[in-house]
Amino acid sequence: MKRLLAGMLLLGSLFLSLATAANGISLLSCWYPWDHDSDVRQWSDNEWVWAGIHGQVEVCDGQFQRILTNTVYAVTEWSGVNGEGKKYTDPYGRYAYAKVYYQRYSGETGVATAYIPNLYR
Amino acid sequence: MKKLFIFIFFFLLLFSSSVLALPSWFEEGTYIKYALPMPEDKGSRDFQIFTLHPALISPGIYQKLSQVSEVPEDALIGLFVYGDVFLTFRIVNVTGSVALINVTLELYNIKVNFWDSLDALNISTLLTLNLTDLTYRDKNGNVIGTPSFFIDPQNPPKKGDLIVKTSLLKNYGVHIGGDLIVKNVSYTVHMNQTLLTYARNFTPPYITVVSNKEPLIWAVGNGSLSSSSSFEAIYDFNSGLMIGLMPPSQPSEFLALGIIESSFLDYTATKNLHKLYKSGEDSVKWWLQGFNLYETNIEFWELKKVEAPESSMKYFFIVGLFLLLIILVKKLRGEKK
Repeated sequence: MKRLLAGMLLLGSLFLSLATAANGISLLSCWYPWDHDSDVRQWSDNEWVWAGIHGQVEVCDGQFQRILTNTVYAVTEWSGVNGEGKKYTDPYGRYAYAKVYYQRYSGETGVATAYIPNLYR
Repeated sequence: MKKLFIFIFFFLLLFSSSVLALPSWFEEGTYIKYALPMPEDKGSRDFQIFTLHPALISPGIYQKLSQVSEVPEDALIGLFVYGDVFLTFRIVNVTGSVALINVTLELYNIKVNFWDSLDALNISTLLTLNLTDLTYRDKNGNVIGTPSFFIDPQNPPKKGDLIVKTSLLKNYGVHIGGDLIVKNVSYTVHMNQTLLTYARNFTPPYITVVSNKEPLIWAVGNGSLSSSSSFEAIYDFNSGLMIGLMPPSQPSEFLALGIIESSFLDYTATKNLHKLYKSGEDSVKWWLQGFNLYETNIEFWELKKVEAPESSMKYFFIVGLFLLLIILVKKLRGEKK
């Protein structure tokens, strides 16, 4: 009788630990989609600015966790304006952005901005 | 003896002109406030970013920021500002050849590191300004840069003069080519346009000071910043006061506040400028799109316009002239006789 009880307890604890382990796995339902953003301003075929950024993000249970910083790629391009590009990636993967400052020949200044997380905020 | 006096007189004249002549408004109690007011109907991408270096900010600011956000020492701090921004310069004290300048950057509606909300933050410092060469000095007397908010109009900056000692950033893991120095001084920028600001209108000519552009790189692990550092500001010809600080300038005062880099634009001024375009007034009026003059207790002499209050004086002068004319005529007649 004692042996049976001990065996039952062992088996029970095994099932229990399996169940919690399985539960733990389901808690960590993370996925790694690509997030992206771009800000394009075009005044003519040869007068435009483009700030763009993309990178993989970690999303767990629908919640943004971080950007996988080694996947971040940013673009700062321009044509027909005086431009200046800026790129930043936070080492902790909290955010990343690309910016283009531009001055058109009319003298007007502006800034195009692209950032992630954008779609998975 | 007479010759000696004349010589001494000219010598003194020569000597006095080499001594720095500060603008007449430069005195204790003067303040000048610049702003980037955020319009009511701002766009979704309309925000300012100020990038702080954790090793360069004051312990008070570090503490305040770490209360709302994680502020690791190996990451830069990004302040995303969705509200108004004010930059104020106060002349706190002038003693002999040294002035103390309080510089305050007021930020409203902030997201620290993109995520963490903070209603408002005041970043402020007291700078020692050496008046003989117009340079800010640190505790050890080392030059950190020149004031952005004014120039001496009698003795404007020359090519090669220091603006910001950005090379100091090399001590903080930031790669930068060198210092910001004066690359060009121009008197022709906006030469046909009235510059509009929140405080008052300015009329040409203006003095525009432009620096070189230095690439700025910072990296930790997979994190990195790649930007550049430069300076451009436009000054009033008469008072030497800065009218506007062009984006994305890095003034020496930012460096003193711990800001190593920033992205700003006056979105309200941009809207105002577009209105000028639409009405076709942009050929005679202009809004600068960076930090614009917002408020000051400096009294500009041009403000006292020759209008209504002096109209009675006008009649007085006419009567006076008339009397002079009568006297002249009488005298001429008397001479003839």
